[in-house]
Amino acid sequence: MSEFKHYSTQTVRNLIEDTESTLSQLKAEMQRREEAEQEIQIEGLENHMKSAEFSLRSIREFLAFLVEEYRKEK
Amino acid sequence: MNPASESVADAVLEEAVSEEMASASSRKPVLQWIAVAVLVYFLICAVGLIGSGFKTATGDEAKEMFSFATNPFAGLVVGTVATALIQSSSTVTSIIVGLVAGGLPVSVAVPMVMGANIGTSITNTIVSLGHVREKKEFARAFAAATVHDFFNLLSVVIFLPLEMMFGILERMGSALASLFVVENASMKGLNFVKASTAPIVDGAKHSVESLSAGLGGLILIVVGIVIIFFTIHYVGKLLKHLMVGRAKDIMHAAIGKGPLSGIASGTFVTILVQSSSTTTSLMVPLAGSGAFGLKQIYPFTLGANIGTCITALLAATAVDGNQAAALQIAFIHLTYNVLGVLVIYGIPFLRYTPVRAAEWLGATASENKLIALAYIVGVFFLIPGLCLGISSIL
Repeated sequence: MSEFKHYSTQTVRNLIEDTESTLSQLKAEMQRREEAEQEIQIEGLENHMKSAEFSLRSIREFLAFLVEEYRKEK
Repeated sequence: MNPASESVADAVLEEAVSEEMASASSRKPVLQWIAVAVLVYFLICAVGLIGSGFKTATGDEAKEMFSFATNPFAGLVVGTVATALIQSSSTVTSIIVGLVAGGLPVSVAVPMVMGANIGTSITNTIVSLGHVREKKEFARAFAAATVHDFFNLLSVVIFLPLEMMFGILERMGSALASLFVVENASMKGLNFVKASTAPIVDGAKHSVESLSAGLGGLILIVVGIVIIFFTIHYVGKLLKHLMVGRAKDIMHAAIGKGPLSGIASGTFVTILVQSSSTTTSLMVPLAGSGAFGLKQIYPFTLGANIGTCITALLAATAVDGNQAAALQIAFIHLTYNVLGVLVIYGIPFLRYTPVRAAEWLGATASENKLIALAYIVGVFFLIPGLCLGISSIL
């Protein structure tokens, strides 16, 4: 941090501009990646629809998991 | 047969089989769409049956019959528990529309439709339990499921007192219904849906004429409820197959476009699949995977609340009896859900209250899974049961 003290004002200004530009590029890249991941997930909507159906099995599995956890703790 | 002619015969056979398969697969969606149309027709007939049955069974005493639910809290609990048990707010609201057409006072029905909103969110909460084995995934999935609960609970906290004090929803519903029911006579002439369902509804009414009014009415109500249950179940299943491609397109189009687009796509996807539970349950695995954040999921669930109103509105167009009241309650459901989004999402300090609450609950429940179980039993059954007990004593 301390080396910034020796930089000229113009150098600091340039650094800020570069950093801001890099940051916005990084944010855009991050958003692009997030959206690409979301596109992939939506492409698998048929599979999600199957796993998103209400079933008593998920309740049974959840209860079995609770029992399992309880036994482990004992 | 020489090898050359054998291969030609194979090619011809293959071509014939593939042509047949292509024609069969193109026929299948047509048949499925016809099945959807027939099921929707029976859904509307069933709501008409409930209306007629309720009117026949109660005569002019519908108000007295539901006197226990004049306490708005009891109505809310009835709507919540009934929807949580049946797993479909569309079914419950359609039944309520039928009951209103048959004489159930609108004021009694309003808290019931509010309760239906709460009850329907149990489906995605149970779906989220399937992610229990992965801690982080479970925290995300449970939060994505309960954000819908918290939104609906907050909506009731805001609008139930307002409704009790000023009757704002009843007034708005009445104003909207009056746009569609100008006069009984003119409506009768224009209402093709009602005319088309009349043969079935009238036929069913005639078939129970020999029985006592009470028993005949009760039979019509039970038959209507059973038909609604099955039609909504199968329409949902068929539409899921038929509309998955379109739902994908809508969701792809909404990516990166902000909350309004999310609300709109949640609404359209729900209209397409005819089930808010399906839309909100779909969000659970999408959130569980980590691809979608809770703030991105949230607008979809708000849209689902709006989209689900279409079923009851459709049903209200063709009821026998008090059509103005039936349309009023259907519009109240729509108004309530639209206002809920406008008020809660529109006021900055309220906007992310459900998100924060769901995030906290998701994180807490992932640490101690018993909390998830206690939450489901408590919010959907225990607290409503206790409230019902207390309100019946008072």
